Amino acid sequence: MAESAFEPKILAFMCNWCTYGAADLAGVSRLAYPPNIRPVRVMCSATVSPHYILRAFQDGADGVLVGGCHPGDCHYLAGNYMTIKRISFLQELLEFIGLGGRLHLDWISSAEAQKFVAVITQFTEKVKKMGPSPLTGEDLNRRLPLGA
Amino acid sequence: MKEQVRDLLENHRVDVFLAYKDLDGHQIPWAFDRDNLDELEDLEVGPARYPLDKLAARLAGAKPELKIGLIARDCNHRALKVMAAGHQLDLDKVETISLACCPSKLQDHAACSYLEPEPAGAYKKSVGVDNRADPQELEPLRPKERLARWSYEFEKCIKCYGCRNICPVCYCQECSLEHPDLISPGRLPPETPIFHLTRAVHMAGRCVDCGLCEEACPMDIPLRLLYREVNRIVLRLFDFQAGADLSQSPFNFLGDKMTLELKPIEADQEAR
Repeated sequence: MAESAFEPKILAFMCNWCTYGAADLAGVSRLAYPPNIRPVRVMCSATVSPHYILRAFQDGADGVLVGGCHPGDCHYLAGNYMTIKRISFLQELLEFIGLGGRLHLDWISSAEAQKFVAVITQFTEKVKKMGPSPLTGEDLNRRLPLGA
Repeated sequence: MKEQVRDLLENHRVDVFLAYKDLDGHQIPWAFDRDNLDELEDLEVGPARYPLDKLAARLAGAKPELKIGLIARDCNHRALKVMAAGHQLDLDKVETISLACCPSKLQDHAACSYLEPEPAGAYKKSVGVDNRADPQELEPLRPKERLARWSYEFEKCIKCYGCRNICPVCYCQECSLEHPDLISPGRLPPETPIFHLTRAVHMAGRCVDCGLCEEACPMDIPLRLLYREVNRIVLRLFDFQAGADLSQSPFNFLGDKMTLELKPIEADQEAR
């Protein structure tokens, strides 16, 4: 598959109180950003269990984005403290297994439509460059050839 | 050892003592109690390992007032601390007799059934992951090759749940690995890598590196190696080691400040 034709599927978990607001503002402000994300609104980024992220990758997501509130701004006071613990751990575990770089966490407040657009654009570009997730697509032959 | 256990039982310091009994040349886990003191003749200490700590937690769950004694290796001691931190048992009600298990410069004998994994064969070495490898040894490999090697290992899984069943720190009432919405329980072969990664995520801040999972695994998947890397990540990120003391895992509380920093998107752009 030619690289230019590849459009990654990115699942975006967005906190209701910040990132989702930023997405809303970006829409209202008519800012353009890549249409590759599938947004899922959650009440707090800390509700995003590693289960969901692993399930997303298993079912064919090329990237997963989690958007939460800036430190100190959490609607539930400290939810994002847990988010960053979990996501940082999972990022390193996925890296070890060989699926690194496809999970991204960012803090985007509901006023930061510009940042939202920038993050989506950069992350989409990155995943596009990395190519389809090795867990998906026709190239399912993940085995190593003998003697490799 | 027999006298020590007899002493504990007769002086009512413990109501039941978990140890190993010789049965036709095999050591099986056995609960010795005050009414059957003559059974102590068959008590035997050898390399056999079972999660006695897990049995102790089950007993404590059923009968909280029970005073339990057990033979404890280093890994059992760590697991007991993790379970106590998780409120699975009360360490005040647990008596242990420690066993010199791991070999060291001071002692070369070792009462452990799994000091070292079996050496990997040529095929496994070329396409899989050597159970004897260190997590660091895998890091220089390209991500694609790491995934290929781990996929080979994970795809061997027959989903026997042996790793979970023997794990001393797997004490949840409800298991994600059997939750229909997370991992379908009846599906064979299991979906990979989600099955193994889910378990790896659950080992974060819990795994005491006893190696029972890998020993129990009929397909020789290097689980201990995977969870060693999990422990390494947890140590690096949170400076936490499960079983070192009675403190809670960083995943069990929110904390009052952010100790980690976001990773930038362009962090690594190497071709994968």
